[in-house]
Amino acid sequence: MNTKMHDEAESWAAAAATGGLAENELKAWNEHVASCPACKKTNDEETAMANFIKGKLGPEAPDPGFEQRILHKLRQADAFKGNRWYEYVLFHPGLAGAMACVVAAACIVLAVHNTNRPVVSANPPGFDALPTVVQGAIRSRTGLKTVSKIENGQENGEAYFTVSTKEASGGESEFTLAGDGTLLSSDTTLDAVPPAVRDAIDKQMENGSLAGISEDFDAAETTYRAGITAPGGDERDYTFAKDGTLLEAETTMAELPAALQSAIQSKAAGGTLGSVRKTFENGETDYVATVISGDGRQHDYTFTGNGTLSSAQMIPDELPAVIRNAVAAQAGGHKVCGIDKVFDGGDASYDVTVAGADGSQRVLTFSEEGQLLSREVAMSDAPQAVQQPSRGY
Amino acid sequence: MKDDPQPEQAGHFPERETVRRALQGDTSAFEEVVLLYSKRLYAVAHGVLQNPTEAEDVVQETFLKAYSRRWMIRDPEKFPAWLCRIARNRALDLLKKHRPERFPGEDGALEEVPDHGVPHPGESLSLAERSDAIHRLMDVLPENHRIAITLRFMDGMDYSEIGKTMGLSHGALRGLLDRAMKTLRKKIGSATLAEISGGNR
Repeated sequence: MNTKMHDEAESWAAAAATGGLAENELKAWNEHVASCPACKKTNDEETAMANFIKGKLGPEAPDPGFEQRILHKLRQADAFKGNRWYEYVLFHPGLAGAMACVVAAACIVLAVHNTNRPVVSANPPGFDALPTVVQGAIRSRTGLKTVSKIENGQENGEAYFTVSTKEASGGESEFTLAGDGTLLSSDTTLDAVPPAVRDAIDKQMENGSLAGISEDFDAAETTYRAGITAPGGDERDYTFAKDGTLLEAETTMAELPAALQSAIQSKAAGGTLGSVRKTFENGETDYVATVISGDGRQHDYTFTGNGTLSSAQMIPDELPAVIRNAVAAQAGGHKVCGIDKVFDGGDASYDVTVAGADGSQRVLTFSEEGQLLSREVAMSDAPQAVQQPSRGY
Repeated sequence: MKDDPQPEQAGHFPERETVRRALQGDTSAFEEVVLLYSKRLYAVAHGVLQNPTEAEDVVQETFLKAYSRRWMIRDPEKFPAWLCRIARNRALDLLKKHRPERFPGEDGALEEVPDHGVPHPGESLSLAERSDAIHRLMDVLPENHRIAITLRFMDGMDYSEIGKTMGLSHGALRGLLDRAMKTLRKKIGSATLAEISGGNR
């Protein structure tokens, strides 16, 4: 007799009845059961109990239509439907252009459809007073969503409009339009951001939670700003590039070196300090402080870690006349969309970002005397010899 | 008794590619995943709730949640256990909300669960009554025992599949099912067991 099996008969019988014994174990157990009436009784009871449970639970398995019901409801879900076109484009980059046309056409159809639909609710407050181009942009973007609020604001003389919409799911989201109807930013979800961004947000989040994501559109690049709440409740913004690279991370004055704190405070004197961000570019870490002055103007100041001011954002009418004239002469019909005064040792220069009609941006650099120091050009505009790949010498 | 007598089938995960594509947002692959896992999720939810309608709702919610949060999982092999956890947690939420009297509490103490309907030795019950009693017996098991029993006997899953679904090794699962069967055996009582086993011969 196998005394070990005998002493642990219930466990062996349970394992046999639930299919947990290896082939050699089952053979040994069956041999023991055949020679031990007590263990045979235990084994029979355990087998009977297993059969009884199976007999009861088996018929309660889902009916044949169960899986199709699950699939059907899943396909109806906004989260699942919403990703289809996006994933299609994402995983078939070659079709992105064609898909963009389809989406654009769908938007037009949707806009026309919505225009023709009977008015269910009055226009939201303030809608009728908006510029026509902004009204059109809101109509085409909201689709079936209901606009719940429109707020207008100004940043350094540029008008913008923030539109809140109620989602079908009950949630709220926002998007922001420039005065010419251009989309500046839009709330988005983890489902909709590129996988690299999703992974980067996940990594940054650790044990925290996600407060929201905004997709910010710029002619130069599209970035993703994620509000992440730490376990302690502290919420900070993190900005990522499309490839998931962390571009900026919000920080606090208390975390900065004393010299840097002092430099920021000197710039914020008389105004209000907005956010302070660490920026990561080309392996270097800088600090950007947003300061809102008493008259509502907003400036970004960039510092190195030791508190040295490396650049200051400027508004066109703050430029010295000599620079303003030089910009007017060089920018042609391009729109000025950003000016930074850059400090390098004792020298200063002005980086002026201009945008062409096609949205492409170039940076023109001027000396303090208004002399054009450099002009950024697209590779396609460079001489053929410059476009040739380097030969390594 | 040996704890882990069967070799683990590490790396045996035929649906890996399908799951990988599903995690990347391929909706067709995700629909395949639904077909692969919906029954076992139903068994998990049913194991906790003992209610078919609620169990189906839990499966629905589980796949939606899994789809929207699929970025959380990078290793496809961890996907089944992750799905199971979502279903189990949602089912436990429902159990706590709708039938708090049947919720065993944080420590899973069996004593808190009423013993109604469980036959005792000497009681004479019809087959239907006994069947119903055994079904109600599931309520006295801790939820992970119920899930394992349901996966085994409702869905007919083998140890390897149950282990992957519940994130348990073969040895851990064998120990868990051993304890579950012992609890059921004790609650049913030897007289009833003898009668059942006689009737099933």
